[in-house]
Amino acid sequence: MAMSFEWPWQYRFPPFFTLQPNVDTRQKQLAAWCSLVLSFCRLHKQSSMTVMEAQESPLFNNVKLQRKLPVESIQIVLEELRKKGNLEWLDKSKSSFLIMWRRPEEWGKLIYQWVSRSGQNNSVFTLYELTNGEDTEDEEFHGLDEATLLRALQALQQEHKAEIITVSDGRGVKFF
Amino acid sequence: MDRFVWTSGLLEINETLVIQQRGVRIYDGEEKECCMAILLSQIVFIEEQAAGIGKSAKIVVHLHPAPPNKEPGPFQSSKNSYVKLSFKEHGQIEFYRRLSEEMTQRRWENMPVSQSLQTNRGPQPGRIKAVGIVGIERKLEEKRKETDKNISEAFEDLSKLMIKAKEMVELSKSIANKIKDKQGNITEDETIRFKSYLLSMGIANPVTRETYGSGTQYHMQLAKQLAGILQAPLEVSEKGSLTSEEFAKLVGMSVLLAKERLLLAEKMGHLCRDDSVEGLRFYPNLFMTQS
Repeated sequence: MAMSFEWPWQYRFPPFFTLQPNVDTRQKQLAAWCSLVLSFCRLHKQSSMTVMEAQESPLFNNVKLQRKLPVESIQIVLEELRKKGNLEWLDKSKSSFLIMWRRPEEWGKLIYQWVSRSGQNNSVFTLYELTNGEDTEDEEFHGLDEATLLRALQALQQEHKAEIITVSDGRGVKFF
Repeated sequence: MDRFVWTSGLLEINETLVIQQRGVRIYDGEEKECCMAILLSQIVFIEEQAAGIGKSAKIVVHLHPAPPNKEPGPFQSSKNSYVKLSFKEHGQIEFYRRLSEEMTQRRWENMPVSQSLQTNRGPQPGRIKAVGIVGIERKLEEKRKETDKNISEAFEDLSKLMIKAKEMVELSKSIANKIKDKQGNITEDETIRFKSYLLSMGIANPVTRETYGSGTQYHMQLAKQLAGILQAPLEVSEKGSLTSEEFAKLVGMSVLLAKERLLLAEKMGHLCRDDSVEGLRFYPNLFMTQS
């Protein structure tokens, strides 16, 4: 399946790659960057990245336009994503991050809705079954990466709708 | 005039010489006095007063009240809120031009405060909150925001821009009339503070009836000042993007002034910047106008 990613108009606008000093303008600019990062990672099925990869990725480096977003500005965009709940740092030195185009709580909600709809409350699943089983083939969370799935289930756990358990060869989850 | 401070006459750190003019007499209000230093940040706005028969040309400098923690100067208190600089040996035109530029650039806002001339205890001079005509100010602030919004929308269509420019001139006419009508009830100090509003909109020296009389001349000058604000975004829109040098060449002004105009338009949200190895370019602010 060919992936044709459609860049937004901002990507071809040179000022997009300069952090704007005007506060109102900057707000719009950062919102556009956040949106772009999430849709880019979603389409390319990229759930984690290092900052170094990001710098050289076409995402922040428009070779044709000869503009790249400086690393300090990339950090600011990433921080915005973190504040919105779409990003989690994977290490203390903030060199690599998990990127979730849907927030864990939103994934949790979708998963729980499927569980309820299919009358499978009080059932136990392995993590693998949830994301790669036949039964979930038509679901949006099918194929979801384990790191994001785990955070989605942790969100449900907080709401007492699920419990992460250990099963024979790994981890599983029980839904209530 | 109690806004003066004693000075050695030598430049402090972070001060640069802008212009020096001999033969300038300073009047405290209408009274003739001798001279010393006033900080630029104390100035609210400036006006020109044309020469007359037997009278030299003057520049009227309206000042904020003296801050409580000001360094000692020749006078403790003054009933006047302005000084006049009387140019006995001419040179007022260039002096006025340079002072106007400094008022637009407001470089002192970016500088660390010099220790010997100002201490930062208490409220900063020049940042006194406006009181007295709060209701009018608030309404006009809303109108100003609306006007800003109007400007952003207008850039897509040049003919729309002309209509907006006319509306803006009408707006400032009505503001000017409001001031005139309330002249009896509003103190001079409040009027000055309101005029500093116009200053923050980029009108460094609002035309007044004192300087231009009344009627067509006054309104034409006002329209000219307003057109000055719209000029940078207009030129950038036409050309797609501009550097300070390109803009300066296009309209025939100094690169320094061109840069200030572009920066002001950026501050107002009409332009945005592209800063790369190729230099600093300004573009129409599509972030605000495009969805």
